[in-house]
Amino acid sequence: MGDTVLEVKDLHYRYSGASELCQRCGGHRTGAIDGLDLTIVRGQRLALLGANGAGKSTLLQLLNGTLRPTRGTVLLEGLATDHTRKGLLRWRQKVGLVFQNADDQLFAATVFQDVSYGPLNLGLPEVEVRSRTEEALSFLGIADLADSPVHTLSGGQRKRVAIAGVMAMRPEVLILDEPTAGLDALGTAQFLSFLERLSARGTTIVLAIHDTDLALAWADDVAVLMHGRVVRRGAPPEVLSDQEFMTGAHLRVPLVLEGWEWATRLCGARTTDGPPRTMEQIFRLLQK
Amino acid sequence: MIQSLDLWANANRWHDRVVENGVAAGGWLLMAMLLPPFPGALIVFFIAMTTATVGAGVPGRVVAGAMAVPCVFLAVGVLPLLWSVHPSPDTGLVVEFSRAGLATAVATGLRSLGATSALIFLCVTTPLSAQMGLLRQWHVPDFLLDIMSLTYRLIFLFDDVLERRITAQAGRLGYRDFRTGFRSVSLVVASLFVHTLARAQAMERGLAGRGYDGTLRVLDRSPRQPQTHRLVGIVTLQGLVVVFSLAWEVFFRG
Repeated sequence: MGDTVLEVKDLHYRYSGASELCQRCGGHRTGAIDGLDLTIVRGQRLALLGANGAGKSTLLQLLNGTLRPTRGTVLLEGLATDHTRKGLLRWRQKVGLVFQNADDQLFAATVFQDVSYGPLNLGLPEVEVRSRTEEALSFLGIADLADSPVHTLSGGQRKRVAIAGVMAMRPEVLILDEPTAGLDALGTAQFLSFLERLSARGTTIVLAIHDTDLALAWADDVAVLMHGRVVRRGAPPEVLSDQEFMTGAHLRVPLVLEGWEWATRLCGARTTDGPPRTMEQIFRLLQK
Repeated sequence: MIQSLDLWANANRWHDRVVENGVAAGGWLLMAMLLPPFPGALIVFFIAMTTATVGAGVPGRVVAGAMAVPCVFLAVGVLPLLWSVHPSPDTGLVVEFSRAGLATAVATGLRSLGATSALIFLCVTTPLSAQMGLLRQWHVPDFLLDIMSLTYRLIFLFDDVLERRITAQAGRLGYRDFRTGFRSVSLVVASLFVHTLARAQAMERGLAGRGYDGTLRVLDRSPRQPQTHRLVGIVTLQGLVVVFSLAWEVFFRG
């Protein structure tokens, strides 16, 4: 186990007016966080899973200081975070958040201008900002879009620009909210390849997703949220194959695991390294 | 229209010649305002339209579309100048066609046309982001550039939302007659207000994650250096128009 980069203890967050509304609609607090504990280890690839309203997006915004918790603490490299100007600067330098809707982040006239915004706010010299901006654009394969106006880009391109804008700040932890939502198959594959390269550079990555197949294929670790708490944490095959638990959490068992279940029943397929994580691995095992 | 203008501003042959376009448009604007309206402002109008279409390669219909709206305002503004109102002992007031008013209307109309064409030339040939980069180099205050940048971005966001909402309403027969159309438009306007607030809050959160502290600092790409021979050509052409217009004024109107 590596060292802890982010730690959340007894975290609470409630949207203003939500409690009153919840009492009227049966007590379910959509999106609220209710006594959540979570540890994120450096270099880890963590998938946060949960049904709509489980509190994933709220948690992500608490993790980089965009929202201020009503109770509880967020520790960054063992130190308590604070919402002072200096504290937020340090926090956001280390923890970058990419929103689900790229348009929530993109405000500048051109791609280059938008990506340069974060590094400039870190107070870096112009030469360094230029270099980081160009590097982030190249890393995401959008260097040729540098002069394009943001509104002329496709959804997938906007998402990449939003990621580049955060990546240019070189955070140690990159948090992405539903990054594959709205992407086609090719866009998702390109995005996964980008995550692989980023992970290889040692960046800790946290994804909030619905897609259990993606979580199985990509993550080292999954945490399942329900009603604002982490109700289960562990290795993806172990957590995601628990049919009863997954149904209770309003999630679907990954198709790959269901397929493997059928393969073991019908063909007697076996493996010593735990269940496969991708369809490709199933085919390889069946060929053997 | 706005989408098309913006696309051509980024796609025309002269889109990266920011300084040259700025010098040309600025010079024409001054000439339209200061030179005798005939022929000075009229020449400016023809040169601005020709260079935008033939030189920069922006389609004529796009330039004409961009000119149409200001021209309507111009016509509405100039028409009252053609009439004069006098007190009359019999009927109280007399409204009649004014010859002096005609001369003023023509002069005002030509000046406005020339000035508008200079600005439209800049709009269709130079991306707004490049114009802002130039203004930043000229040390225009940041808050003005922030407002320009946000307005530019949000116009397209709302244009997109508006289009989708109107299409969705039309699909549910929201515009089948005047009454339902009027109701649908009012609903869209009301929902846009709420959407604007939500969007502003979401954008503020998004920017906060990247260190937003009240200013929107961005870096521009290194602009292309202006070419001296082009600048000399533009200034020479403008000088010729000035000389010709003044000579016309002296020799023909004496």
